[in-house]
Amino acid sequence: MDAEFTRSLGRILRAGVVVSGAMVLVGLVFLGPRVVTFGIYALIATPILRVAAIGAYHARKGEWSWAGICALVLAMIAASAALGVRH
Amino acid sequence: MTPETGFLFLAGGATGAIGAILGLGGGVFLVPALVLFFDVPIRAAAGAGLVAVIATSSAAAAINTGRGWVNIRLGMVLETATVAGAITGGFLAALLPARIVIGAFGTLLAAVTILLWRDKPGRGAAGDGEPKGRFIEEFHDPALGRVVRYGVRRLEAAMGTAFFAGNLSGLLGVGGGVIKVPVLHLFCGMPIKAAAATSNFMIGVTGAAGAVVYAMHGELDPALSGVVALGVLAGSTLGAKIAPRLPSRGIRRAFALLTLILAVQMLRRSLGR
Repeated sequence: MDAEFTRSLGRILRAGVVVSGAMVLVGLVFLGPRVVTFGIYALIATPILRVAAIGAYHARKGEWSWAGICALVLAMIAASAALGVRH
Repeated sequence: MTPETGFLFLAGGATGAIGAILGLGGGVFLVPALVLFFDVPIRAAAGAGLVAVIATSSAAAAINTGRGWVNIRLGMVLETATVAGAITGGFLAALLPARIVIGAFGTLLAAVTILLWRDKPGRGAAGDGEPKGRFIEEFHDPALGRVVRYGVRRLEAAMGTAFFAGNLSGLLGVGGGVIKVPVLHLFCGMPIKAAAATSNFMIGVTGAAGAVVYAMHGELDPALSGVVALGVLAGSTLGAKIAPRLPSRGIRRAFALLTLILAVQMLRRSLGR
C-alpha cells in the first residue's frame, strides 16, 4: 500500500468528518433537523467509503483477495441494512 | 440553543477529553453519562455513543494513516470480524431488555476499572529484533527516534477478540478498543502505537456497522447524536493536546475511581435501583 494512497485515505476521512460535522452544526443552529440527520448519515458513511476506497485500490491492482475482503465487509453492512428494513 | 443542548455538548466535551487522555475513546464515559445524568434511554444513548465513536475514530485515523502507524492489511482482515460482531451486537441491543444492556455496560466499566488501576506499561512488544508473525510492517516512531518493525502473531486470538469487541461496540455503543489494544499489544506482538492506531482505524467502520443497525431500528436520535458528537470531537481534540503533559499513573488511577462509581451506578440502575 503506497504512501500516496494512505495519505489520500487520510484526506477522505478528514473530509468526511469536516463535512458531516459542518452539516450537523449548521442543521442544529440554522437549517433544522433534516440537515442534522443528513449530517449524521454522512458521518456514518465516511468509514464505509474508506473501506470501499481500499477495496477499489486493490481491485485496480488486481489484488482480488484483498478486494474481496473489503467487499465482504461492505456486503455484511448492506445485508444488515436490508435485514433491518424488513423488521 | 437550549440549556439542555448546551449541557449535552459539555457532557460530550468532558467525556471526549477524558477518553482522549486515557486512550479509551468516546463511548465508555459518554453512554453512562447520558443514561445516568440525562435520563436518555440506553438504546438512544448507545446510538449516540456509536456516532461519537465514528467521529473520533475517523478524525484520529485521518492523522494516523498519514503517519504510517496503521497496519491497514491487518485492520482489513480484523474488520471482517469486528463488523460481524457489531451487527450481531446491534441486533442484540434491539432484542435484549434495557436493564440487561445497562447491566452489561456496568460489567464492562468494572473491567475497565481493573484495567486502569493495574496499568503496567511496557510489558508488551517493543518492536525491536527480528519481527515474527504475519502482516509485517514498519513505521517511524518519533518518540523513540527510530524505525520500528514488527509482525503480528496469534491471529486467531486477534480475530476472536475483534469479534467480541465488535459485539460490545454494537451492543453498548463503545468503540471496543479497550479490549483490542491490550490483546494486540500484549498478546499478538504489536508495539503499542501500532496497536492503538490500528484499533482506532477499525473502530470507525465497526461503529458505522452498528449505527446502521440502530438507524434501521429507528433507535438513532440524530439531534442528540449530533450535539454529543460535536462535543466529543471538540473535547477529544483538547484532551489529546493536554494529555502528554499529564502524569500518567496518577491520572489513570484517578479515573479508575470514576469508572468504578459509574459501574456501580449502572449496575444499580440495571437492578432497578
